[in-house]
Amino acid sequence: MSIDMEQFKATFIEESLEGLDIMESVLLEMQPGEADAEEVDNIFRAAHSIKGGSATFGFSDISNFTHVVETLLDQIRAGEREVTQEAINLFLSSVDCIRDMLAGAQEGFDINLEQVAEVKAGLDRMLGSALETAVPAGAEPEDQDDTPAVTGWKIIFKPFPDMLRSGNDVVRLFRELAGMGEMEAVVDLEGLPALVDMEPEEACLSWEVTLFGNVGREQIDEVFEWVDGDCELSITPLGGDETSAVDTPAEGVPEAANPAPVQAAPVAQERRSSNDRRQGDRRKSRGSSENSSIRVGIDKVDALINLVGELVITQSMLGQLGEDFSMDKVERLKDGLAELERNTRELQENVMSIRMLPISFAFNRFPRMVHDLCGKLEKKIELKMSGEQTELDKTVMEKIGDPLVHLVRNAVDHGIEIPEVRLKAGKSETGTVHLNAYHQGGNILIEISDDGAGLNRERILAKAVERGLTNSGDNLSDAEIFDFLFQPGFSTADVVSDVSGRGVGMDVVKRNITALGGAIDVESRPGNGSTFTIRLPLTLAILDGQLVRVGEQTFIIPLVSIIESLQVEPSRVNAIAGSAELYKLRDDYLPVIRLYDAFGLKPDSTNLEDGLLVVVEGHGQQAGLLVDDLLAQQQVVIKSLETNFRKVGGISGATILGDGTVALIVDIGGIIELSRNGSKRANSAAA
Amino acid sequence: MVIYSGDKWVSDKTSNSEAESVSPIVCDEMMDISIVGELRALLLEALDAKQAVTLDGAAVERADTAVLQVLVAFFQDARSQNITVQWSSASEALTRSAELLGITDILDLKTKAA
Repeated sequence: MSIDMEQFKATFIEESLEGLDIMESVLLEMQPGEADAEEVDNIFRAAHSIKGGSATFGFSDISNFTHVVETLLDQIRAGEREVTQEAINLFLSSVDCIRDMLAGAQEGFDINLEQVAEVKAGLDRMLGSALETAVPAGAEPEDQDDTPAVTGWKIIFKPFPDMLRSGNDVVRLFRELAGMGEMEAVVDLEGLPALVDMEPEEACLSWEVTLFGNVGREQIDEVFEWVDGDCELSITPLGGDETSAVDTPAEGVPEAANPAPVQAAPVAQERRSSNDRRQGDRRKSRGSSENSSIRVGIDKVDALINLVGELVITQSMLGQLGEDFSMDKVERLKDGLAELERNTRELQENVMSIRMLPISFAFNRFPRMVHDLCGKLEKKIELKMSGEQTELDKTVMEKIGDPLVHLVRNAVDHGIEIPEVRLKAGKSETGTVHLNAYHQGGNILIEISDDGAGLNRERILAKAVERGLTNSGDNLSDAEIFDFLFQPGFSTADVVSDVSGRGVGMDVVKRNITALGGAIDVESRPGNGSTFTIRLPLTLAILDGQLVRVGEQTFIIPLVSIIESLQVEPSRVNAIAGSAELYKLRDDYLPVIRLYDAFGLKPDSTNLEDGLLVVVEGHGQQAGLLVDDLLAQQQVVIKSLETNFRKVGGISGATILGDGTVALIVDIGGIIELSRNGSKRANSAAA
Repeated sequence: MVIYSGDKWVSDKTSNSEAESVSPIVCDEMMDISIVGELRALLLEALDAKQAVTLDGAAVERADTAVLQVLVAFFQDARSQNITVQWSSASEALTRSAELLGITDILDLKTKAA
């Protein structure tokens, strides 16, 4: 029977990536000199699974690489090696390499061989130094090399009882060995019980194999890769120093003096430029692969099954009612339809919850990033995370990742001061960056705050004046001044580092967040740090909307954007220069946006008092939208207008209503922006 | 005669009784871990019978480690109980597998290649 391994490949890669995440988080917690047995076990297990799986799927580069990592970890586990900062850093680099190799295997692109060879050489050096100390003086380390000097190998092979059950077959292994040179196997019957006492599926025999010929150590390792962890194995060069044999019960053989990285280096050099070129493509393709699957808790699936069950019952009840319907059954029909509506809504909510993932998926990358940046910038920073279990739509999560990285980098690079400066300012040496996520209304809020120096209001203002973004800024609020940070190319950093400070990015951050229907606010306390708050809709697929009518058209205004709706009192309306109108609502003045004007429609009436004003808030600004009538409130499924038609200013999407007509969803931020620009144009025309 | 017929081992009562003391066991093409439990049971029966056993391995296309080690145990036990075991024939695949595991002598397969 042949098994199509392809179907398991994606799962293997997904699980391996999870294993790498575990390795990374444990390594970040690890302190030099203190090897907590449980921590080491955790990383070891992850490495071991990745190695075994990658060998099974034929990713020999991954399995060879992980093998060295695993061997080193095994030495640490056995107390033969101390945990040094160098080892931790090397393991972290290995995690990166394996992650890249896995991504390469998944997407089929070439990996950065140079980086892999460099890290592997480091691992080999570390491993080699251990062996040198283990090998008695006088023993030639070259004896273990894969050089043609070796005339053969002695292999002692003791399968563990369960080895055969996992599909491994000694006949097959030995056939491969026999293909490499002259082979002779001597069986050891010591473990063989009488037939009557025998568990026939358990391995009871062991062997001593002599393999003659110019065979590389790696070739033999490759054969036994399949049974790694399932046997005791000892491989000794024939005629070599017996003491240089490496016994590795259960875990295969370390590649003591593997020349592979040395050979790989020139190759890597040649391929470097093409790898660099591919880097961009790789990131892109990795991003797209994120869309491929989603893990769902069994409780969510069970809830769905229950709901579908209820839906079927309601449907059959309605079906029965329809068979001999009479007017006296109208009440029952209504009840049935109400039940159906409830089921549908619950089903919809449950299906949506499947797409919801805890934000820890996006937060998990930050401990490593902050750790690395601290090393680079010589800062001491503690990263606090809270609300990691707050759930967010998978699509939103994928798109928010990069903006978050940017903001955290900024907090670490520009926000937190170096230890000396902090001490002088009377703060503790270690700064804090806090990531917090929570739900508020129909939104999720993500805060990135630091206890650093805070934003320099004057400097930002000076830069804005210098760049001609404002004249003097006398009347600008803090929020308006900080908003300049999101202008393209705006940077106040004195020194442009490779971490941040080029002024590239904050505009992209804002653009990405806005594209998700979200907003970003900045607060800053001089000397005490700053807080960036991202507000995002929970999902991009469905929204609670208020249906409004303008002339003969129906529009949908997202419910989360609506503050209130009111009848217009003409006395409260002030026309200002150009065509702009302001409505005095309590102590505020709101710009009035006549939707029929914005979208070029014929309204019921152009008199303000005949219509209704829907007060909305978008992008931190309020406005009053003039509509002819308010209709129902309902959940609507968002369809992309861009995909199906083209992008239209002031419209974020469309939906299909119950009667089959298409209704457009108003993009509140967009329409405020649009009307403001319209006013500006009118003003400049008037001037 | 006992043969392995696809999914189980069965006694073939119609076989000739040329030598009633010998119970030929005909091996299937695929002698692997999936049938090793049944093979062991059959070989135990053969040992219990205290009669000479003949094995026919002519059809064997694959013999894996699990099967071969059961045969090794069987041969060892038969020897210690002075029960004669012989091959009427053995396929190349069977003898090659035994050779790879270094058990040709124990299974007495040296010159039995069909």
